[in-house]
Amino acid sequence: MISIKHLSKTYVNPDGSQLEVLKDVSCEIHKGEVISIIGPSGNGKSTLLRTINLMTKPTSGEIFFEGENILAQDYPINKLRQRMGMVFQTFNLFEHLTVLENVTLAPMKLKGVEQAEAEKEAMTLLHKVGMDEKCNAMPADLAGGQKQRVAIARALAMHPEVILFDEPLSALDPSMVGEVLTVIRQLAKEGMTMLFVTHKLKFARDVSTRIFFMYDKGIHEDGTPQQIFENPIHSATKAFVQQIYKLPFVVEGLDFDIVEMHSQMLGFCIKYNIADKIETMQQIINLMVLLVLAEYRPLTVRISYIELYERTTIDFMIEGLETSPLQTDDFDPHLMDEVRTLAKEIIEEPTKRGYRIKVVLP
Amino acid sequence: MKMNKLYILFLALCLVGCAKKQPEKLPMKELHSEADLTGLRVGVQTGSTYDLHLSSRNNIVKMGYNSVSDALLALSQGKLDVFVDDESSIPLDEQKRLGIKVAFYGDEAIPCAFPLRKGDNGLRDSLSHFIDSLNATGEMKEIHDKWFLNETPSQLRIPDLGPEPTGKPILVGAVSELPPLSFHVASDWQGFEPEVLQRFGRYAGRPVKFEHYPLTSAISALQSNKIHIIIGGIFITEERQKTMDFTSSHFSVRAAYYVKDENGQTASFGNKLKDMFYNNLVVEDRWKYITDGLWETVKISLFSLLLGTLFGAGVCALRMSRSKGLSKIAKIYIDLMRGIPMLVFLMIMFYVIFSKTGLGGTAIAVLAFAMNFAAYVSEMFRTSIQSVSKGQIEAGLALGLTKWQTFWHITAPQAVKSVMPVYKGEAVSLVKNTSIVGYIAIQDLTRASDIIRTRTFDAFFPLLIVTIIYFILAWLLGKALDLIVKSKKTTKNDHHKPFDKDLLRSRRFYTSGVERR
Repeated sequence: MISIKHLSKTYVNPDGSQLEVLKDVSCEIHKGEVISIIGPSGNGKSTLLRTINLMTKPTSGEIFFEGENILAQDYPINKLRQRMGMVFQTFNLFEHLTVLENVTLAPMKLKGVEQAEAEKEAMTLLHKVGMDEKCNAMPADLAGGQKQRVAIARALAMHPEVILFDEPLSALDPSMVGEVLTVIRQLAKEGMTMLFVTHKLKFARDVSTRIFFMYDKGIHEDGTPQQIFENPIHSATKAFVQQIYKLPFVVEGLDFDIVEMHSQMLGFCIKYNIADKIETMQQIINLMVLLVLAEYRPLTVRISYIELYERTTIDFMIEGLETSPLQTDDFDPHLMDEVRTLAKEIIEEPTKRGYRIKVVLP
Repeated sequence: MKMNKLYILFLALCLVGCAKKQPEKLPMKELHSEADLTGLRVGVQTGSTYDLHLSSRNNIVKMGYNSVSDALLALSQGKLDVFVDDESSIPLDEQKRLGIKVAFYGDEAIPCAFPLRKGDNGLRDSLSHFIDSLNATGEMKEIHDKWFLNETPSQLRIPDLGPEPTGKPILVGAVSELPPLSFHVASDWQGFEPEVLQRFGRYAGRPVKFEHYPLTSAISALQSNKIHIIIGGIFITEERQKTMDFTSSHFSVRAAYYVKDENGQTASFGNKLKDMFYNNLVVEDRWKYITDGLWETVKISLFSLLLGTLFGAGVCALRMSRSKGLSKIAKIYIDLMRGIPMLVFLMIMFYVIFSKTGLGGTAIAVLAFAMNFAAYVSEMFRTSIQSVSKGQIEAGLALGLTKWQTFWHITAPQAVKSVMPVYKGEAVSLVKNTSIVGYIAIQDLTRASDIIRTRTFDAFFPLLIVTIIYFILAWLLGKALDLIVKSKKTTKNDHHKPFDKDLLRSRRFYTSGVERR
């Protein structure tokens, strides 16, 4: 359906310096595939996606859509874009138009569809994304997830053969990701060809039929989700998909800076998009550090987040201890019960250097 | 409702201002000659011949005024003892109405003549010849006395002189609008000097067209050949002979020393609103000046607004064009227009750039205001277009709209919405700025008030009337612009209402079983 051959892109900065983002990239995209483009930031994920509908012009190389070279001089770019939908990270709904008008604009202006018919079809699409009741709302009155669903309906209104999603979930509150995901899953089920640029590894693994791991200005590894996430060939891929984000913090004595610790925790949660976990995390750490383990300072607290499995754990490590501190009578046992209700799982184990209590968050 | 209250408050304040008590009257001795002026407060028009004449005397208190009406106001309020001006400057009937009289006349008569463009010898010679022959037969004196000795010269009309000739018209700029010298009733010019020129027109076989000009503009108009002759009791002075040619003198003017007439009616000077209303609007259908002026102001404002907005869009397009050269040209244009005072630009357009073309004053004013307006609004357009986020444009392009379609359907509507508040302000200030078109002989609303003021010597009421009209005009324009924006929105919402809610609920619109959250 789409074949990309030896594609390169170099940005020229205003000061004349050059920045090469893509270097000799080639790939084939087939009808019905759902492809997620993942990889560390700054490796040309968005650029690759945007060259496909020529929102970004490549420096060299060829792109064929249904056998036609879209980089040919006289190829009608706007006709191409009518066949390729695009959904943006920042939604980009037309602020001056209602939800319904956002969806009907392109079919009416580009395909000459009658207003009544366009509206009827738009309502069907809005119904599909669960936004039909908001059809007369203005975009400014919608929440992020709602905006993104309308944006998907707007793209669908042109009956595209492929839809390009540029980080569709990144700007959303964690609570709103679900509603957009439902819509995307439905499209995948219907066999829509889709390309995603995403940071959400779990999403990529669950939704895609194929993964492009981008690294070092190109597609470093290309395979099924199972291959990429379970048995990656390249070490860079492995390091990326299995990476664990960690935040260690040493609780020294009685007068350690608890405010500083909390602000670091908050920063960590926001950075890795797990802000919804912050409250539970704070409760558990306060209970453990200030009450249950108060006698065992100094101790080290470490928060870990594994993106692929979306698993968050908190480790409490006490050096030089050989028996579990939880088995003593030094504290009120009700406190530990409270921790157990907050946590999904608590694992106690001795280590080489001391004793570790691992609290897994739900 | 709120507005009504405001108007009432405003009017009430004005009335309180008018009802101010007259200062106590001072006993006045009879004046018979210039020698009697010693120790008195003597008013003159600043820069007039009398101003110069009296500056040599140390034993009087000389006070300068900008207009006859200002001086008369001072005279009636007792702030001034004597006012010196041409004997023709206040007609007899007005003197009576205002409660003033001439105490005595100056000894010396100063000759007046018609100024012409230097080098216009043909016209000068034939007009001089005509004046000389009228002077010789005594006809000139007859005409002069008919106008100047009449008690109510504003009622007098030029006699029927036969059919108007069809030759090349003689264009006359009138700087005075006072009976009996020269004044107009509707579009017809009457008075002593118009009669002399009309007679000359019949003699020379050319029609005579009059138009009002302020004195300073009239001289520019004469030099740029927009008019051929100036009328208005112009003295022949050495200074003026350097820049203009003069015909033979057709009459002479003495200085008149006006004082308050203790026996005359004194209560009439603008003390009662009813009187003011009657004098300023009803007499001689003077309200017509206001309505004609209003029409002119509205015409100039609306056309400059439309044309200026179009120009502005064009300049904005140039300014935003990728070509650096075009952008630079637009930038220079904008800076230039912003740097020239509007009045100066208007005069340049009228007296220099378009002086040789047959384009009318109104058209030139519209063009000048449109060009100025364009410079200001183009920058507003540019910033509001740039304030539309890139994402909006990308979304449009990604749907397959062309650049132009994206601009038209997505960028422009949002830009219009954001530019509206500043645009409204600029449009209102355009309307107010049109008040300077009087300088190029257009009788707009402000000029209308000036004309009435020079006739009634009332400094206050005509200004109050036009103030209120300008205010209402600006307010209406603001409302109209609001309506345009709003109406666009309501029609949009309207066509959504008919959408059938039952249709939404009907199952046949389910194409897939996506769960509703």
